[in-house]
Amino acid sequence: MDLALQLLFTGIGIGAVYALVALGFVLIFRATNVVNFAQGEFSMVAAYLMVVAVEAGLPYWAAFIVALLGMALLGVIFNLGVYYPLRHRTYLPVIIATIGASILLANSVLAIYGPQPQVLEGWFETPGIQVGPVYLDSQYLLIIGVTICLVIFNFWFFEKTLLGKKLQATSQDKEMASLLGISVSTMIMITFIYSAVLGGLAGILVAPVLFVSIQMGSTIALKAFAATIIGGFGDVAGAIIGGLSLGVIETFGAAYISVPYKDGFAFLVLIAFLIFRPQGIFGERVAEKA
Amino acid sequence: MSAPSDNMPIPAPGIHSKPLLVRHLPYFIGAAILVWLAATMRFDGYVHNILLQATTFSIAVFGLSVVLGLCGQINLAQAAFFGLGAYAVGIGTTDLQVSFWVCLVGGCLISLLAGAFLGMSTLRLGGHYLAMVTISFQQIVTLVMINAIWLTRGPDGVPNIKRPELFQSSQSYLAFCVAMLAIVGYLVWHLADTKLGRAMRAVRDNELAAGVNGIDVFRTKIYAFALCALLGGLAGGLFAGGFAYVSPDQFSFAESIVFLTMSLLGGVASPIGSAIGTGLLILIPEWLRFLKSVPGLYLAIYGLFVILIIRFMPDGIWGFVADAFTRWRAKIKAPPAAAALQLKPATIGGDTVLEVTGLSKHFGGLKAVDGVDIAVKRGGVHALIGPNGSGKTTTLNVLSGLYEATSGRIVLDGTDITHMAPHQRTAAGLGRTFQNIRLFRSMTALENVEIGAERPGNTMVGKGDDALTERAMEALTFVGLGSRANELISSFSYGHQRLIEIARALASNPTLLLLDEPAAGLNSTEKLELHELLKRIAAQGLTILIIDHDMTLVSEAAQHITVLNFGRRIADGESMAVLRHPDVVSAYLGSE
Amino acid sequence: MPLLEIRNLVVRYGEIEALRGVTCAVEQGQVVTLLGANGAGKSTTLRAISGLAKPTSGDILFDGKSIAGLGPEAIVRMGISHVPEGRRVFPGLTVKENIMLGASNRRAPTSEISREADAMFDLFPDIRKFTNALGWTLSGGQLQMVAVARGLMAKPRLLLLDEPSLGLAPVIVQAVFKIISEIRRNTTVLLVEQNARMGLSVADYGYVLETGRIVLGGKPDALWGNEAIRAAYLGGHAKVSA
Repeated sequence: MDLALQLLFTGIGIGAVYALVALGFVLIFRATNVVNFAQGEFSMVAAYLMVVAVEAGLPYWAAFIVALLGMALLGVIFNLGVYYPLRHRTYLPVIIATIGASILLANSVLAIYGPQPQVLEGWFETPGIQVGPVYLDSQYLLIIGVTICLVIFNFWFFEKTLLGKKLQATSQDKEMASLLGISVSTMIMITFIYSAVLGGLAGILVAPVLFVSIQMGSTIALKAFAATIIGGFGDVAGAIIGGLSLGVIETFGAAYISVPYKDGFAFLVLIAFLIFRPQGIFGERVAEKA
Repeated sequence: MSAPSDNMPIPAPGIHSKPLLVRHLPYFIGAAILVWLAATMRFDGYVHNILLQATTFSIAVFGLSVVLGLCGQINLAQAAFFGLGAYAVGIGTTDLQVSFWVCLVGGCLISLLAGAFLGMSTLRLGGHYLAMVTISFQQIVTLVMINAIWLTRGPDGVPNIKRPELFQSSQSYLAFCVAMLAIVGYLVWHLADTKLGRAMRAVRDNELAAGVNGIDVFRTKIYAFALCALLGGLAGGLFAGGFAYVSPDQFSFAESIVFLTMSLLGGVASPIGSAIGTGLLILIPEWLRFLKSVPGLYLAIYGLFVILIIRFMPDGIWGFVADAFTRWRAKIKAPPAAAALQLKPATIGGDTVLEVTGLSKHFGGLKAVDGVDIAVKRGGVHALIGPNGSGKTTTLNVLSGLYEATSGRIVLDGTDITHMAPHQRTAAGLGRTFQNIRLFRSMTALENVEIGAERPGNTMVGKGDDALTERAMEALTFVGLGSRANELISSFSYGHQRLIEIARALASNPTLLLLDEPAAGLNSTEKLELHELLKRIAAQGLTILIIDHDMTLVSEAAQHITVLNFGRRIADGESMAVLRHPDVVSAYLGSE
Repeated sequence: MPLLEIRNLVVRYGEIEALRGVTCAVEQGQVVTLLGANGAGKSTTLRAISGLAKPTSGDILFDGKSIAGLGPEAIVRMGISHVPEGRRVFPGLTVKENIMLGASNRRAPTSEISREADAMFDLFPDIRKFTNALGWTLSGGQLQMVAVARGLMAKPRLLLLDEPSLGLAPVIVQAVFKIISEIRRNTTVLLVEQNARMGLSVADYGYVLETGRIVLGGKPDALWGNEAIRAAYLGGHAKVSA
């Protein structure tokens, strides 16, 4: 029982990271109908930016801001270089272009920084606290805390601000949005920036728990993608629930079944969902024809 | 429904008539020369390895030109299939001590089954979902290769893989692989012109139209995936025999991307393009070997190239070259003359060809069609009209099976088709055209109409490709476009494209022809021609159900009219009486 | 000078020539109705004015300035609001949010836009009780009201209304047209309508489109008596007065 509680905590912590990246997936998908296969690399690049900034002697908080600003810039470049020129083509070229971008990002970092995994210190000096039977790692606490804040921010932004409404309108009907005077290209740019920053945040948060490596991007991306499918594609709440459940499933699977196949559970769950319930847990919430 | 044997992916040699083999003699001579060169020329070990790699990789990339090029489905797991074949030969010839040939065939079968299984997921998924399923499959295969040490020996890989007795020397083995490449290349090249190949291209160009032209879309996609996987497995088996060593990192997701890039760079639609792309992407890294001193730099450039190719060369190198070549040749072969088209609609049921009772289609709370009855009498033209949004097109889509009816019954010539899939309805004798023309845009007019003629159960077409072409030519000549049969769809005017779509439906010799707004977008001359065409079709006894907004056309062409408004039938009867009906007048001109 | 003037407008969609030289004008303060059968080019005319369709040739003058070829975002900022066919109410947003987004073409604080949106419900009392309902839960008539209200939030000098009566029951159609006759007090309206009787009942002037050309123009009474109207809708060949 104690072990189960401990695993639950760790699972939620790692699941929160998946949830953040999944959120980035969903936002881009809703705005552009494109699955960004380079979403995971945003996390990887941000983690490296953080390592570089810390090594350059910046205080942790300043490095954090620098890394996130870098991600915003990457979002802009990604939109202009990869998505925007292909926006009138079918999904297939766009998928392949984002895969190309993912290879480009991962290997550019490799070329610059070398294959050696890097270590990023956690934000806190104290490693964690013991609460009853469960040991709460401080970095996991931070991840969970930041994720909760972001979910609240996301809700506020999309439900309570006019800009959020404009973004939603753009994702629902671009032509109508432009007829109302909403600048569709600006909205898509904002979406890419926001998604890159979200992905980056996830990478920076998870970096002290994992190693900072070239592979971390693709691993996180695949899990996050599985999370969005489990939650129901295009659904914000679904992405968060999907991410958390995947983290928990994975942690329990590794502890009770098999460690080497830890990554396999995500894919098995994913394939099961794709075959038996492709609409995800939450299903389609909008009627077939509005 | 055709028996599966008709749809066998690879046509057995000899089925083609002699002239075809004679015409392709240069190909076989060229291939024989290449095999001979591979068997006799002296290469150093380095060149030999590069050639062997290029040969086996090309076969795997041919698989992608089937699934992605012909059928338009994404597969990001080709390296996994490649790996299945390679490990079958690797484990089989070492740990299990089985003959190379048994292992090669076994590996192909395992890949084929795995490919068919992945293909099955296309039933409900497309696009991004499919991409994701194939990535997941790729990752699971990689995980198993690394972790199932009892079977695969884990990350260390399998060394000392054996070759067949017959091709022990590396020189003869290379010649064998080149011969396999030539055979597979020939089959993939010709697949496009077989029934299955046409079905795949139809699915790629327009899934909806493929379905209503009698193609089982789902099954076609499964075949495409299975065939792609089979070629991956074959290539992997040959690769394992050639290099005598396999390890998991050779079959990773990154390798799948490499295969995909090879295919895209060369030109996804053709085997020649695949071979060019594969050759280049094996050679370039060798030329850029100096870049490899910086790990990642080479792959980074690679990623950049993927983005640039997609953006600036969407059809790949071969697409680019072939395009220029076609323009240079500029001469299109004149089609053969054709006999007059015979339409012999089946007459199994009674006087009523189509009987629709209580048909409803609801979208959530919206009752788009609500308890509609339509009875179409045999022979002549029946029109279904109504103001915009009255439910006409929805009715047509329910009739042809694109939507499932919420309730009601549809009987076509005595057969209840209410719950059939679109391609089954076509087999039962339904033909249709679309309001926004849905032709297979990468094909010629003739090929489009051939797909129509190929409808299962078409009694008006004989056996073999020649009979098919003949039937298609008759249909094209009937609509007046026979002389332009070999031109691509894009070179026809909008009005002529409409006629090709009608010819495609006519070639299938339907029992009932559904025309969805055939006059939309036509100018007045074209409308007159359309009217004449309808008369000639009706004269041959084929029943037409037409939807159109052009009241002049409808009132002159149709003997019987059914009027819908708000999803319900508001009038039904002889044309002139219906058009004078007060409810109809107020539905169109507005009530007082 | 007319508020809107269209000169010899041609629009092609690939192979189809949807408009083959349309010339017409809308005077300040008028309601002008475009009539015609389906596919005659009515919607395309509106789409060309609002920037959704690019003119192949010809010109569109708004207030004397050419707007042909500008994007929709720029055109709505100049004061032309287009309520397109099919309502296009954002299904995942509430009624109030939909209406508020109508003001996206002008700069105003959110609180003020919110107040204006609330004021809209005085003109459209039937949808007041759905203020916080999501778009997709509404019926056709309610959606039409939301769409018109959203169009008016742009404070347009010219309102383009595409088939407001489409698919609506007669009672609802009358309610919608009652609103149009109220709007006309301070806004110029270009109305596209299939329902000829209704369309002409609120109009100062009308045009009849047939296969991409204006075949008739005149005061409603004169048009209503003309056989061309009946021909355009119910078939038969009428003498075309070019």
